[in-house]
Amino acid sequence: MVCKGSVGIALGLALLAAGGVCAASRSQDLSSETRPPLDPVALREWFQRHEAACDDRNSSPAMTVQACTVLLDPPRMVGAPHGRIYARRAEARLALGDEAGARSDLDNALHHYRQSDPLPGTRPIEAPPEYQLPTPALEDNRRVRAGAYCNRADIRWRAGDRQGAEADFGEAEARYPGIACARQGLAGLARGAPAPALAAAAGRAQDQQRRAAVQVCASERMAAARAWFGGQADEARAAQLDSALEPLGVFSADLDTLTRNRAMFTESLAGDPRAQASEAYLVCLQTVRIRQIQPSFDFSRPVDLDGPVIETAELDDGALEAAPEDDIFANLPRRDAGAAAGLLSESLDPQARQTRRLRVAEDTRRRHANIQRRAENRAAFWNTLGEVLLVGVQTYAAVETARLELEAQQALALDRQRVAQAATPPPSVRNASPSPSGSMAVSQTGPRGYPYASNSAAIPYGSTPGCISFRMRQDLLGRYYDVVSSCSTMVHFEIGPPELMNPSESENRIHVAHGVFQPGWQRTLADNYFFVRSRYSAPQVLFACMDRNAAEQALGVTLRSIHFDYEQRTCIAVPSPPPQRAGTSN
Amino acid sequence: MQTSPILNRRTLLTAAVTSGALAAAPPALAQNGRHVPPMEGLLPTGHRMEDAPRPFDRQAMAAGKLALIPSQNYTAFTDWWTRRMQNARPNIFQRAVGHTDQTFQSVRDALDPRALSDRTIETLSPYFSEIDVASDFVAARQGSADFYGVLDYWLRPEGFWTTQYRTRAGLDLLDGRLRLMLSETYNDRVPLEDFSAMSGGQGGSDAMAHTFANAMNGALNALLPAVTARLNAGA
Repeated sequence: MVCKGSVGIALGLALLAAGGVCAASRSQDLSSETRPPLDPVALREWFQRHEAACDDRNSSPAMTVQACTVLLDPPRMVGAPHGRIYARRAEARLALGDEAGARSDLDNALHHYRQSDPLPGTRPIEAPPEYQLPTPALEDNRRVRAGAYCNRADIRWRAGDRQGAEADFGEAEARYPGIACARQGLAGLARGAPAPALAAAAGRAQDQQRRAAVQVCASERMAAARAWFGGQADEARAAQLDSALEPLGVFSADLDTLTRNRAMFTESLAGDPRAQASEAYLVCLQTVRIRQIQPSFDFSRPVDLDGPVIETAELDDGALEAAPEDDIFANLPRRDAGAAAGLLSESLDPQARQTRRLRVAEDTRRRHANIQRRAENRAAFWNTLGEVLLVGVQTYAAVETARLELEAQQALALDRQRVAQAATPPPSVRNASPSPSGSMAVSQTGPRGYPYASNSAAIPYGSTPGCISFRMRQDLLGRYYDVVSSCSTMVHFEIGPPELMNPSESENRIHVAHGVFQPGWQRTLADNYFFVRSRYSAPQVLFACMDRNAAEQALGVTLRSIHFDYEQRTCIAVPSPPPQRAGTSN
Repeated sequence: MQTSPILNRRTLLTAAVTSGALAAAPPALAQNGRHVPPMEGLLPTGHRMEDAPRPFDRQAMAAGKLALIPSQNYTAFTDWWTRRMQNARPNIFQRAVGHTDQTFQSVRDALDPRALSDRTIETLSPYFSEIDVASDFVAARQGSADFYGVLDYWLRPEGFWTTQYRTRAGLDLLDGRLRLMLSETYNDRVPLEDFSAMSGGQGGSDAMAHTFANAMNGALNALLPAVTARLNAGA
């Protein structure tokens, strides 16, 4: 109770206190402190600041949510009293109308309560952690925990889950016997009462009435602000004045309190001009508030000034006015639209729209020009490439035609030579030029560049089988990768022109091309190569020589050896030295 | 123009190499690829919306204030764009394959959510005395709105090879008592624009920008005339 004379002093003190509160609030602005410091001492202070902001019942719900959220960030949560912070953030979210977020927070909070503080005789559902987290700096008390159960019960009740709500109210009652919220909730459930409205709705309704009263008394409000702050009076200073007046019961919902306060301030209009301006504003506000509660209130009625004049307590839950039943906006969810609202707002400015439209049009024009330019470049590239390919094909055709003509002429010349040689006697060994080592190189380059015997026409190949041995090695994957030709093992096979050969398998690892030798294929034989094909590899070229008997018979000399020289790709026939005459002397 | 899947597959393989613009996360990641109903998060679950009386009160509209509210999808899209696209610059690897600030700007502008809101606001302006923006219905009402418009936009790559993009857009207009005046939606697939492998990062960026611009223009060209027709008809 405050006497009339001390109203000005009380107001001044309240303003000073409000200034202090505002200063404290400014120091608690943690929006730029989301990153914890590295220094341990500063980190501890940082943590305590956020914890205090999360616990501060006087701060705005949005700020509470922000401070609690920073504390609940997983990398920083060791040591934090999780359950209490979750429960505190749930309360703030309920105040903001975010029921889904509050429900999630309460689930987390109650999970921590069940784990860290199970009811006597019960066990937590989950196994306790094997390690021990640090002891929480601040212990939750039983009443706060029971209140969290009540909050979740209300949410469940509103969602139609009466059974769940009853269980939560029961848990709250068990944790804190006699707690009012649980008792009232259980009673309401028992008599089938509707779920209580979201506190935020009631709070919003009250806020609306409060804003309306401030708007009506706008002129008195600014006059009071000017009286107190002089030329510095602005909206922020006026808001500071509102904060200072709030503990004086200006916005009370109790009609008797408002009436008595209004009567008292009306009578004390005198003295200090600052107090006078403030009291005029107070009277205006209380008049509007009384009319809001009871529009037909008779202000000429005598007022009993006995009893509490100034209500210093905040509005309690029971005094909150429920939202009107038909207010469809009362229980609508709130949300933060993030960047979307900001970007949408940028579209409200016609000048900005025009600027963007021009820029996008320019960008589109440039993009189309780029695409067109690239298409032209691409077409030019393919045209050039096509021309080059055409010239190449024409050149190749001309060269190939000339080569075929040359081959035909050479074949004709060879045929003429063969006919001419068939009419002459077989050549003797002395026709061959002996090498310095005494061997005879019977080679000549054939049309395909492979060597063949120069005297092929004279060798009766037709009746003599070729002599060659080869092995094909198979790797682990079954592919033939090498051909080794040697004369160590004699394998009989028949030879023929490549185009008539059929691949077949004599063994798993040896693939021989078979053909039937005919006189007309002498030229192929004389080239000294065979085509051997396997299923796994391309046709391969093997080189071979006639066997020694056939060569001796053909050449009419005794050979010491005949072999194929791979480096020279030539059959080398080495004649035996002539027999020494016994007793010859000069 | 619908291109063959094989061509698009080749295109995408090429794009993955040459187009650094694709390194940015697709918009679908911003909302887990899910298109939610436009009213989700704005109205309570299970809320049944009544229809507004017909014809519309033209005088009330002409004297009233419309508050545009972004849908959950639109919010996710703009958040993604703001976070990943608005200030994106090519890194050294992207510059190595031909990207420049200009190629990035093409993709950025083609995805700019403001292109959608610009044209929407220009379309709706003649029918209302004032247009404002709010984050939800309660905020809109506190801002003294008489009508509410919920703007929806959603874009998601379709298929493993991203051969096309699925677009959804919508505009719902509600009166002061949250009764539905009109609801127009758009749902389409936009094929990924083909481009040459030899055109490098610039060709890839232009193709992506073309695709995104096609998606947004397609939505606007289908949506806004329908809304205008409904408003003109008054029903």
